[in-house]
Amino acid sequence: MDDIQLIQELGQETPLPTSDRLAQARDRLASAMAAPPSTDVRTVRPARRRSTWRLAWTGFAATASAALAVAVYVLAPDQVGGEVPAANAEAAQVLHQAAAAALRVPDVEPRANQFVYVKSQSGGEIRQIWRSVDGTRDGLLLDQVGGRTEQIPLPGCRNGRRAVEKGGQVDPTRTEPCVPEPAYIQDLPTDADALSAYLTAHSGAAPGDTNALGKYILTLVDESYLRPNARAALFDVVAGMPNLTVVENATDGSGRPGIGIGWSSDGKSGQLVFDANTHAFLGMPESAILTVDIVDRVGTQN
Amino acid sequence: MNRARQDPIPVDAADDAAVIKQSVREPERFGIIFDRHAAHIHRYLARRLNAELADDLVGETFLTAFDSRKRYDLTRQDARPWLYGIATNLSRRHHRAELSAYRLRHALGPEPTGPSHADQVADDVTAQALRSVLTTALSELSDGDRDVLLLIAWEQLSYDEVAAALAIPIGTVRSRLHRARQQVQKSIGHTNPSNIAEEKVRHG
Repeated sequence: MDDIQLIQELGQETPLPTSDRLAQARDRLASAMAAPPSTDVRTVRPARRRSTWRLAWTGFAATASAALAVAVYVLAPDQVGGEVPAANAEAAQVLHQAAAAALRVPDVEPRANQFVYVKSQSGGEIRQIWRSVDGTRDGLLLDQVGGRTEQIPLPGCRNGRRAVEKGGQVDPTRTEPCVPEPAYIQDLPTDADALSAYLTAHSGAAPGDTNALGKYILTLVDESYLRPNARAALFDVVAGMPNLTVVENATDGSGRPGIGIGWSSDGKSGQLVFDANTHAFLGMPESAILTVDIVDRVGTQN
Repeated sequence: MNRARQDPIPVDAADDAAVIKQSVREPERFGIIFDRHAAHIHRYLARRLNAELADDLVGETFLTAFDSRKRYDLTRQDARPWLYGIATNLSRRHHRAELSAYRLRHALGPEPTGPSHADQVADDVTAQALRSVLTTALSELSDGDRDVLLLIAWEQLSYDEVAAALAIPIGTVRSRLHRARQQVQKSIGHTNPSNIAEEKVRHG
C-alpha cells in the first residue's frame, strides 16, 4: 500500500457533513446574499483627496479577502465566562453613556431624495460632503486644504449606471456600471444584538474578528447617517468588543480633547473619541466629525 | 425564487463560472455554488481541523467567496479549486487546531474491528503504529507541502487545480508533492523496513 493510499484511508474517516451541520453557514451566506449590494461598504467611498488614514480605507477594498483570510478567533473574556478586564468594563461604561447621549439627539428620518451633509476635519484638511440618501442622486465633495478648495462631483447611480468622473469633472459622454451607495442604510437594526449580527454578516468578519468589524463600524460613523437609535445600538455593539482600551487624553482630528475608546487586532487599531463630559461622539483621532445633517440640496447647509 | 425558473440557462446545466457571473447581478444565485460544494469544503476543513471549526470556517469560506465573486476567473468552469484555496487560507490561522487534529487521530486510533484473535491484535498494533507514524509525518510537513499533498490525496484535485487553488505554478505543485511524499514515505519506511518499495525510496 503506498503513501497516498494510506493518507486517503485516514481521510476516509471523516464523513461528509449532514445538511444540518451546513445550515448555519448557509444562513450566513443567505443574509449576505439578501443584503442590498449598496450596503457593501467595502466598495467605494466617494472621495479622491484623502488623508493617509482615508487612503488606508481604499486599500481595504482591494484587500477585503486578504483581511478575511487573516481573521483571528478571539473569544471575548465575557464569552468564556471569565473575568472582564477593568479597561473593558470602563470602556463599556463610556460607550453605554455615549449610546444614551446619542439617543438625546433629535431623530430625523431622511427622505430618499435628500442628502447627508457631513463636515469633517483631518488636521488642516476640511471636508464637506453631500451624499445622496439613496445613492441615486448626484452628490458633491468639497475638500479644502491649504487655502485651496477642490470640488469633486459624486455622480449618483441610476439604473445601474453612473456618469464617469475624471479629474473633478463629469464626462457627459461616458457612464460606468455601479450600485447605489446610500448615505443612509434604512434597514440597520436598532437592537445591539441584531446590529452586531448584521455587522458581522455584512463585514464578512469572523466571530471575534475585531479588525474587520471595527473597520465596518468606522465607515458607518464617518460619512454616513445613523438615526439616534441605530447610533446608540452601534456604540453598544462596540461595548461588547473584546480587549477595549480607554485613552484618557485622546484628541479627535481637529484637536478637540476627549476620551478615546480603542480596539486593536492583528496590529490594526481603531478608536472612537467622545466628549468626556457629555459623551457626545466627536470623531476619530484621524478625523473629527464636525457636523452631520440632512439637507434638501447639494451645496447647502441648514 | 421563481427568478431561477425564468432564467434562460437551466440551473443544473450552468457551470459554476456561469452561475458566478449571474450572481454579480443576482446575488442569490450564489446559493447554487454553496449547495454544490459546501459539503466537500466542510469535509476538507473537518479533515484538517475538526468538525466544529469546519462548521464555522465553511461559512467564512463562502462569505469570502461571495464577496470576491466579481473577481472570479470566469474561464474556470469549476469553482472547487477557488473554494479550496480560500478554505486553505482560512485554515492557516488554525494551525494549532490542525496539529492537535493529527495528535487526536494519533491518540484515538481506528475503532478496533472484529474479534480479537492474536493475529487481529497484531494487525491492529501494526495498523496503529503505521497510523501514528503517518499522522506525525503529516504534522511535520511544511504548510505548503501539506496543502499540496492533502488537496491531491484527500480532495482529489488535479495538479492544475491545486496550482489554481494555491496560486502557485504547476512546477511548484509537482516539487512540493514530491517532497511531501518523500518525507511521508521515509517515515513509513522506518516503521516497516520489510517493505521493499519504501526502502527503495528511502535509499534511492
